[in-house]
Amino acid sequence: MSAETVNAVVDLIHPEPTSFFRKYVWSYDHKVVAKQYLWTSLLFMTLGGSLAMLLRWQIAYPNQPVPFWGMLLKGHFVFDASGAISPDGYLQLTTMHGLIMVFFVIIPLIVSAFGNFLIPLHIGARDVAFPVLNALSYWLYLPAGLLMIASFFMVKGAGEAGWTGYPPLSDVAGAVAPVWGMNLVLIALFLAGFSSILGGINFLTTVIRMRAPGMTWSRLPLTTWAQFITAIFQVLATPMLAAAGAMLFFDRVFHTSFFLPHGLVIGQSEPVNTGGGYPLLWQHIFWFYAHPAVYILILPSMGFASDILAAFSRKPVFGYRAMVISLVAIMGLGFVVWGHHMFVSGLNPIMGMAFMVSTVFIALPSGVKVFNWMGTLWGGAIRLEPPMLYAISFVSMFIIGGLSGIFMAASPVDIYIHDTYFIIAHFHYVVFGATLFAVFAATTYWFPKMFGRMMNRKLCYLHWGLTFLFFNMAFFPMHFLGEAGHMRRLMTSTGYEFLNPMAPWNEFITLSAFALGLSQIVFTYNFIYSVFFGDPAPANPWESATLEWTVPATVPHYNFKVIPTVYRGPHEYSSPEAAPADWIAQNAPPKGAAH
Amino acid sequence: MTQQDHSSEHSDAVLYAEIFGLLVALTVLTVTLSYVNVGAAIGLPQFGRTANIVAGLLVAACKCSLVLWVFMHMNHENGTNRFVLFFAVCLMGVFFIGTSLDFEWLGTYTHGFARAALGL
Amino acid sequence: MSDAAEHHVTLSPAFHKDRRAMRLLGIWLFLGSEVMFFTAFFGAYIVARSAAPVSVVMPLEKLWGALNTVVLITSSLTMALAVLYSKKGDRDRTGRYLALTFLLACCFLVVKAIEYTHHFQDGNFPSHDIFFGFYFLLTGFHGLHVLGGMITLGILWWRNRRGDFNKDYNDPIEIAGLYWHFVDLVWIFLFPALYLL
Repeated sequence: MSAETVNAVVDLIHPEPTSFFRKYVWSYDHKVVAKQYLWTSLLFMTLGGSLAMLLRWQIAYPNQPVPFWGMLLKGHFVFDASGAISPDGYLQLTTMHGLIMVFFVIIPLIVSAFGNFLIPLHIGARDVAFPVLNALSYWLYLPAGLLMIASFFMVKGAGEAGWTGYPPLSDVAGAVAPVWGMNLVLIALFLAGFSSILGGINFLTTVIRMRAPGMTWSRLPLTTWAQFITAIFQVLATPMLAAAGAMLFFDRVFHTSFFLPHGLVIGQSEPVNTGGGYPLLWQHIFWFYAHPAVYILILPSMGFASDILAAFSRKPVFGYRAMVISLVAIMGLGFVVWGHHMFVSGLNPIMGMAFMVSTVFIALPSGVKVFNWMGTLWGGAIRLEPPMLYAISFVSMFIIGGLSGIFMAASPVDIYIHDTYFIIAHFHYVVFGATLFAVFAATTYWFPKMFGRMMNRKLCYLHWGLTFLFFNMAFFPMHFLGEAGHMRRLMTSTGYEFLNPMAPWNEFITLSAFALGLSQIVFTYNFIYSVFFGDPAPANPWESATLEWTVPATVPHYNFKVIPTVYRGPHEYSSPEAAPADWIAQNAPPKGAAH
Repeated sequence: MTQQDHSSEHSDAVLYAEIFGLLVALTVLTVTLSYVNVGAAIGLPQFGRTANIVAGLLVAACKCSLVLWVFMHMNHENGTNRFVLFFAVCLMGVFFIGTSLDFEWLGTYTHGFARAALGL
Repeated sequence: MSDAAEHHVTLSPAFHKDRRAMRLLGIWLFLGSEVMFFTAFFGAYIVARSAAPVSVVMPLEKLWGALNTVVLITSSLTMALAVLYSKKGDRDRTGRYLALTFLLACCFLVVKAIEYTHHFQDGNFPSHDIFFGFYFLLTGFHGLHVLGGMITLGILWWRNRRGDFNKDYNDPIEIAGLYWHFVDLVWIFLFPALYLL
């Protein structure tokens, strides 16, 4: 290794562990931590998905016993004595489905799992900047997840104030929310937030300080750029959630009154005599975190899609610079739009207008990205491999989800559709439709690098078709329901005359959702089977140009034996310089230059 | 940084001691200010204790800058690290302004509502 | 991977320099994150404070707060000196100043404990009113940070005694120093906000 070309810091390494414990449990290796995150979050996804199935059952077939599970767990957890979903149980289902999916599935999956795996490989480093913190972040995340599950076993069940946890509903321990179920949820969020902050610090430091020689900012793969921007959100927004959770915890445990108004009446009780606090304060603090969190949920997916679309269109990504600038713009704007979640909370109307304008401005960078993805596809030699199909679905679902977002951004329209099924449709199009399709794309694309084996193509196509079909069948009709005024988090729609005509729609959605859930078995089977018995993968099955494909199929412990020197951008496809091949790896020296 | 000779070590220690003296002086100042009506003292009695709050926060900001600049070596820190702090402080400002403006309005609104309800 | 293992053992000055830059960036990011954590509390406190009449006088003993301010500022000075001497490789003085910082942190917590005892004796529990809610929230989390700092200082003192640090490698002390100054900074704002205004 020549000292002149190699930045000294890239020498950073830790010896290859030999014991089982150091290799698979308390591992410093970013690849192992990534896989720990991947497996754990996929497990949580089955849990979160099952919760969604249960609540869909209740909506379509109100108060009817749940088949099998209702009989089995009659009178326990979310079920009442007849095996149907109890009212408290229903609220727990909506709450825990949201919290688990956001904090224990999507963020760990797209940020921690793929970020950990890809960032060092993308920038030509041997590991992340702080391997110990990396291990610690996983071992904070796992207990947090277990606490979430434990909350179901508490007296009166898990948290049931919605994933947004608005006070006073979430605030008065025992009166309107279960005591320890909700407390455990708050502790779990605190831990998960801390884990997320540590991960973000790690990623930022890694990208800023550990890039291989020649890996300039304009040569970073867009996945890494997106992870970088996401990490800024993680580091600077997540503490707000921790703080808000801490204040709520104080309210519940030490009986302070940060979020409790003076003279609050709960049910038949006497007015609660508190020091006088502000329920809206929670919304400000929470959304100051949770709106950036929404971008944490989508930005990494945008990165995956950009790199994958370029690789399978055999073209450089259209407008690399514009892609980066739009990411930065989304980051900047993302911090000043939190109020658009509060249009109906009695927000200062002048502020409401400011938040509306800043929100509508986000359509600009998002639009730039969408057009650039289309520009990337345009005229490309498209290879419809599974990752490509998933990535194209990401773009199309993102367009639908993005457009319905503009309805929400306009405060006059929002007042009508706020807290209806329209918003459910909107964010499931973004988080399930867009992000999860990008996750499938990323999983199929990087699977060969992660596990050294290929996934079964036919099963991928099958899974893609089923998911695309049933996803749209399940979520598109929700737009109509929302437009007709169907409230979200509503346990039974039978009590409202104006909702009765929508019962068939609800049944249709539920059946589609069940089918959607069942389709994931195809993916699960394919994933697990391929990890152990898939065809051995070549080092670069997709003929991609980024650095992770220059290392052997089973990535060695130190990633790069010699730290590569980077000479060109991440998407050098169909370059005339490469003829007769149609791609050049990022570390290929220019022609005529001495190696 | 690492290549300091003995004299610069000495001068650094002296600088730290000076800064420490300033910080203590500012602490004494801020406590003293809390016993005085700052508004009246500077000839703007209409502001009353609001002037005290502004003065107290200004003194705290001075102390904060001294610690940041000298003790935390912001004076020879690189751009990236400075930017991290700068960005966080900007976000802090955004949050303070956003919430304060909203609650300011809510206060006026609820106050007016109460007055209307009482027929005032 | 024998070449890699070899690099792990012989760490060049260039390695230390780059590693130091990474560690400093890491701690500044962490401090940025801490700024946001206290931003939420302070923002909430501002809202609550501005709702109360401006003439309200804080029900706390100013002198205890002022004493603690001086204690923390002094500990900042000793910490800065510890960092200075660790850079010189002066192990004795580094250890002395680390120990002094630790003791001052103890002093701070003792004063805080006395204050808390007084509050509890007067029946001023966190649930008493929104002011005491904020008081205990802010000073409680600040106290936790002091406690964390003390643990770090203790470990560093022990490592320094063991001879882990030298002229080239003293990043942990510098990083702990930055954290410690941040804890001081938070108090610099807490003191006027809770005791004086």
